[in-house]
Order: sequence, then structure tokens, then C-alpha cells
Amino acid sequence: MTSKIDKFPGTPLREEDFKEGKILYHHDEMNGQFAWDTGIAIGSYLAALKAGVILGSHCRTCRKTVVPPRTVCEWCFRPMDSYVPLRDTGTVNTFSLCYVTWDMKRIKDPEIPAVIEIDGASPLHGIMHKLGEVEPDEVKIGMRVQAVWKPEEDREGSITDILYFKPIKALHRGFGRREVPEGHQRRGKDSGLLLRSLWDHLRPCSTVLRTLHGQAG
Amino acid sequence: MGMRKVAVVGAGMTKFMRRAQETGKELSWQATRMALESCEMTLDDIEAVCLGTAPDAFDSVHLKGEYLSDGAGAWGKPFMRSYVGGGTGVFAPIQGWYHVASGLFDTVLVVCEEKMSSYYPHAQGAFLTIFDHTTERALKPNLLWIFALEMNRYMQTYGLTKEDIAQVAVKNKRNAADHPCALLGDPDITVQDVLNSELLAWPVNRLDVSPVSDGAVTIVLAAEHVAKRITDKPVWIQGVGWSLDTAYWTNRDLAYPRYVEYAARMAYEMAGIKEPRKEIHIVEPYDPFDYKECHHLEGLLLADRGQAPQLVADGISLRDGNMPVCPSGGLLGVGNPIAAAGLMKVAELFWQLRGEAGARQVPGQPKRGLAQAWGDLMQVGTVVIMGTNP
Repeated sequence: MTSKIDKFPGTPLREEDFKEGKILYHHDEMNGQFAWDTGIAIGSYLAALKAGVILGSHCRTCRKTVVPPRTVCEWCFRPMDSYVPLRDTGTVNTFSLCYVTWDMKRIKDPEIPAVIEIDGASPLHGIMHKLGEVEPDEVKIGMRVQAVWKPEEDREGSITDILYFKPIKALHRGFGRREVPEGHQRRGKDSGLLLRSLWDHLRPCSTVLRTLHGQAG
Repeated sequence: MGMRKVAVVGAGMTKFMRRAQETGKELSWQATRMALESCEMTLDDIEAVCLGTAPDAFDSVHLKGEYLSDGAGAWGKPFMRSYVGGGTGVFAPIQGWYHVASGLFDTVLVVCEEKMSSYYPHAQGAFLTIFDHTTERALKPNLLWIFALEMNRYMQTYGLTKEDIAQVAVKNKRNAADHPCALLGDPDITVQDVLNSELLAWPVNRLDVSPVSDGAVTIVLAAEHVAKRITDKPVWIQGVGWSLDTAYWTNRDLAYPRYVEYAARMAYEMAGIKEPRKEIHIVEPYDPFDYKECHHLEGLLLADRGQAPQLVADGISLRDGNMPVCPSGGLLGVGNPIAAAGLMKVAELFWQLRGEAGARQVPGQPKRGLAQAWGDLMQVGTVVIMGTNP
């Protein structure tokens, strides 16, 4: 059939045809505004981010820890009802050096999006975020990274409360994978306080979660 | 399984263009008219219409199914639009297939249309909303990220280089030079051209990506007793399959598309295929990016993991190789009007298996082909297997 047809329908246009007014067109702009409810699991995730913690959820049946947290386990369809605070460190699963914006304008210093496997989550379980404080040509898959947080008073319960992830510099070179994330000691001192404030954020969510699952069950 | 046999009896398509003067309705009608003429049928002979088109956000037309219905010939008939992202173009014929296989209808039109040029300033904007609104969109991602991330993971896992993968773009763009509807056919393109093209999001360069396009494709499906009256060369749908992976795309293996494997296994079982590498003669996997063709060939079990780029290097996947891959020119060469691009692959198998593909004809009278598409947030696989035997 295609071998017998030499003229296929369709009239290609060029960008210039618009600029030179050779064709008529109608232009319009849409201004959509939305506010999305965070839901129960992601609500807890955001509250935890505000408190400086990356939160996952755990399925007791499948023994999986996922991030971001969710209310249902995709594998067994049972409730995923225990939240697990994860570490704010992880491993670069993959990355890109992006030199264009969404509307294809070029940018000079590339953005470095990455999938980061978060420590404490199941293998290959990560989140998408960006890398910083690193030269583009030094980024490697498998690199160890740590979250750089906004100052506590500026956090608003959003994924952007983490500014980016930066490489962890090993303190004991040649000592295998041993590493001390920056600020770890300071964290140790007021970790009790931190966990208490996190619990204050999570308690309402957990109650809702239990109620929901109670109804469902 | 108690299902009727279904054949493709006609096909038609428009040119794939960066920007078409015709509206989506007009493109749909052009392709549909051509498909009906190709099998000497009229709209009166058609009992139901299936339409495939990508998100309403593309051209900011709400309820695009209804909008396109007159061009698709749907008036006064059972009509339904399906949508599974980039996988739509191969899902719509599956939908048409079960309309006929179930015994509900004897003849069905499958129409796929896309007009991506309406979105300003760039169609990529229409894809921004595929990311999770709360956990991902706050980071201001763009569509290229997700492909670049997946491609990098794929290359790293199997130790592949950009050169290995660029060969796929070269093969497809050269194949497309013989396609009368192609947007980016180029008989003289080289691996160096691909590597030297503008860097968008490492490891993705401009020529690793298929172009934004407008276009439409239509096929006509018929039940066995009707198909045999319409044509002496029906092409039979032997197997179909589709599957979905987790929407939490950062929680899974990015180097291997297991959802494509699940879809392929479903289709192979239905078609009675035990050794796909020997029994599939032509493959039209979805190739919006060059690495995706490799990714999908592995998911389809037609190449070992990490070995798909070698098929081009060895000449196996060239048009005159043992297992031609994308002899049409694929999305990289012909163009990528999302849903229409998937159905173009099904139409290509129809023409190839009838020996009507002209300059693109695969030698050796191929008997069976496979078309596959992929989409949503990188997690749906759709597969159709077609052959000259019912």
C-alpha cells in the first residue's frame, strides 16, 4: 500500500509561517491554579522533612521499607502502617547533567538531578532530588551523598526543605566505606529533642491513619 | 480461550510533521479515509471506533475523544477513547482487538492522533505534570531528566558507551530516509553526528531524542469471516499483552523494564511463541530515545540484558539483518506524534507482512512481527504480535 502511494496527506508548516503571518492562528493562555492536599502518608513525609528527617514506611509482611511513605503496600495490598525515620544520607543511583530548561532554553551551569537511594530504605528505593557542592564532572553513580537542609526556621514542610544532596567526604580514607556525615555529632546531642518534635508532627497523622485503616478493615 | 480471530485489513497515515496546518480532526480524517480506501470499505461498514490520543494537556482541549470524534468517523457508533501515555498507540489496537475478539463487533476502526505543536513555547511543558505534584514538581523537573536518569543507569549497569547507543539513532534515521512520511530521515547520518549534536541533559544529546510531531494513523480491524471477504492478505493479530509497573519510579530497577517483559510474556503465550528470538521476524519496539529501543528489546526477551546495542553493531537489527528492528525508521526517524507513533508501528508491520512496504521492505518474506509501545511515567508496556497466519 505505501509502496503504491506517492502522496501522503498533511501540510507541514514552518515557524516562520507564523511570524510572517502566512497562516491564521488563535493564541490563548491558561492560568491554572491548584492546591493539592498532601494526604496522610505524604503529609507525614512533609512534616518529617520540616523536622529535618526523611521518613519512609515499612511493610511488616513484605519486609520492605519504601520512600516516600505510603499507606498501602503495592506488593501485598495490606496497610503500610509503620513509619520509619531514615538517615539523610544515601547513594547516587543515577544522575544527569541538564543544560536546558523545560522550554528548551540553555543554561550555563547544569542542574544535576539524581535518584538517591536513601540509607535505611530497601535496596534501589530512592527519591529524586538534586546534587550540589560538586563539580559536574566529579559526579559518579555510587557516590555517597548527604542532604543539605534549609535552616530550621525556613523549613516549610516541602521536599525543597532539602536544598540538595552533597558528596560525603570520607574522614578515614582507606578505611573501607566508613564515613562520618557532617554535623553528625551535633545531631547526636539534641536528637532526643528532634525525635520528640517529629513525633508531635506525626501523631495527628498516625491517628488518622489508624482510624482510616480501622474503617477499611 | 473462546475468542474470535481478528485481522488488520487496512491502514492509512498522514505525514509526520513538526507542525501541521491541519487540525487534529482533519489529520484523523485524512488517515481514516486512507485506511478505509485501502481496503475498499466505507464508514457504513464500520461497527465501532476506538480512538487513541495523549493527554488533553497537549493541545488544551478537554475531552479530546469527543473533540476528535467526527474526524475519527465515530458519530452514531459505539466509541471510546483510551489513554495509557506513550503506550497508547499500541494499546488502542489492543482495545480494538478485544472489541472484535469478544464477538461484540465484526469491524472496528482504530484511530490514533496527536498534535503536539499547539503547546507553547514547547511541548515539553505538557509533560511537567507527569511528576508527583507534591514530592517531585517542587524541584522543577523537566521531562528530559527522567530519560537522562534512566539512560545513565542503563549505561552504567552494563558498561555501555554513548557510541554504542548512538548507533541505534543512526540505524533508525537511515531507515526513515525510505519512509515517505518521515520527518527526520537521513541516509548519510553517522555516529559522530549524533555524538556532536547539542547536549541537552547528559547523557542525552539532541539526536538521541525523537522529534515533537503532528500526525495521525488509522487501521481497520475485522473478524475472521469478514476479513477473508475483504482481502486475500489479512494480517492477523496473534497475541496482545500489557502491563504496568509501580508509579514510584525511583523505587525500582531503572536498568531493566520488567513491565515490558510481563507484557511480552502475555503476548507470547497467547501467540504460542516459545522461542521469540527465532519466531519473531520483524520488531518495532518503541524508540522515543535511542537507548529505549535497546531497553525494550531486552524487556521483550529479544536480546540479553545489556547486549541490545550489539545487535546493531553486528548488523542483526539492520533492515537486511536476521531480525530487523524499526525498519520503518521508528520514532527517531519517522517522528513521534505520541499515540500515532505507536500505531504507525502496527501499520508498518501490516505493510511489511503483506510485502507492501516499498523501499522499506524487509527481505525474505517475513511471517511474524512484534510492535511495542511504552509510556505513562515510564511504567506501562503494551505489545501486539501480528502474523500472516491466523
